[in-house]
Amino acid sequence: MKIEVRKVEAVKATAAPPV
Amino acid sequence: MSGTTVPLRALTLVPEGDEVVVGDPETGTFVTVPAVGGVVISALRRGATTDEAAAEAEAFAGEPVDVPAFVQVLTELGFVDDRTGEEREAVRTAPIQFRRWMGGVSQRPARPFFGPVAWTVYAACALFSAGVFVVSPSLFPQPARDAFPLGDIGLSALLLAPFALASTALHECGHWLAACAAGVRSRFGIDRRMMLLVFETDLTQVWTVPRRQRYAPLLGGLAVDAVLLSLLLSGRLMVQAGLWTPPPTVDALLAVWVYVKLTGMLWQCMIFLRTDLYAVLVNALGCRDLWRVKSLMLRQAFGRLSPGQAAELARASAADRRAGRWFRWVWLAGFVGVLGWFAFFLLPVIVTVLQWTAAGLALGPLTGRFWYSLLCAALLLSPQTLAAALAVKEYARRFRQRA
Repeated sequence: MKIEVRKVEAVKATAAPPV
Repeated sequence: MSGTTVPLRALTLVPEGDEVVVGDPETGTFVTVPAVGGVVISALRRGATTDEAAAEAEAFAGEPVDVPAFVQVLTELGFVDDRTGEEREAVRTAPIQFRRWMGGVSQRPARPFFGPVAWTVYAACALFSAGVFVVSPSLFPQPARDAFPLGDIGLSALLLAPFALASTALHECGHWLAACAAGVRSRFGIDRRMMLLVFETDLTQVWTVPRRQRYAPLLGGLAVDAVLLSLLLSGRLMVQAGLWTPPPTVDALLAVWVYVKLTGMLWQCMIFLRTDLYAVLVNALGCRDLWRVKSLMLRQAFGRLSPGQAAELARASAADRRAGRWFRWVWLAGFVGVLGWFAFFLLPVIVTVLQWTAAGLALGPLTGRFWYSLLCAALLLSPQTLAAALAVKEYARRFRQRA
């Protein structure tokens, strides 16, 4: 069997725009 | 290939359901593999040869496993140590960001701020604030009245900017400190959400800890917000009750700060802008690559899927496709909504500021009004200008890649 590899997305935390 | 050992980087393995999250924290590259992939990597880490690892994997899976092909994929991901000793850069996740991960505070001093007692306090602060708005609705922000506490609009805006900036910095520090408490390194950057400029903390390394421990770093910013908001509202309550009689300007400033904090907390609810609560949703639903899968499924809905993209979608995880089915419409509705808000609310403000600035600049550099106009315009419009510049740069890069 082939081992399936799946990408995992970056985790981004933001603050509201300053203005 | 047969019977050789494979030197691996310092990879992290986190079992999750019937999968394992594997990654190289240094570059911020993470993938999921089925449990048998974890068996192979664990064997290789112990120094087993590929043949020995294949035998272990076969015993685990009950059928032969293609280990050489798997090692090839690991090599492409940069998970195999090439022994050059060169320093490797983390994958860029924002247009402007630090190249290095921040350590900072060690786990022990940071931990009490994110234990069960601390989270109870943060939740109580949030409930207290909600209760204040219910019991005393007059304290709920009224933007037209509260946003400009001083008679002069320019001066009010100048005063608002430092507070908004400090409040943003504290929010990001909440993420950073909570990440430190979980033993996760992070880094700061600047990104954009559509036409808005945002500060951003790259928390990709939360994939190195078990699922339940990821919530604290993701919610650390909102925890700081909740504490600040409850402090500001307590101040306003004391003024209202006559327990504290500061100059009227102080109460007006508290009101504008409540407005800024509450707006910032409500902003997090806009999950279609990839906010903190979007990351919480991804973690709660066990998604892996929802942002990408959402785009693919939206293309699918409009029949705009290329064969390559269709193959990519077919390989996506079941959780991603389940969530993508509804999240794509949330994203589309949000995108259209923000575009409308920009056209009807923000654009007129920008035009007004530009006209006001032009009138001031027309007076010439020997007048005070000239420099005052220039300063206000620079402060008010620089975030939008930078966001527009980043967008142009990004689309130019995409266009070049296609050409």
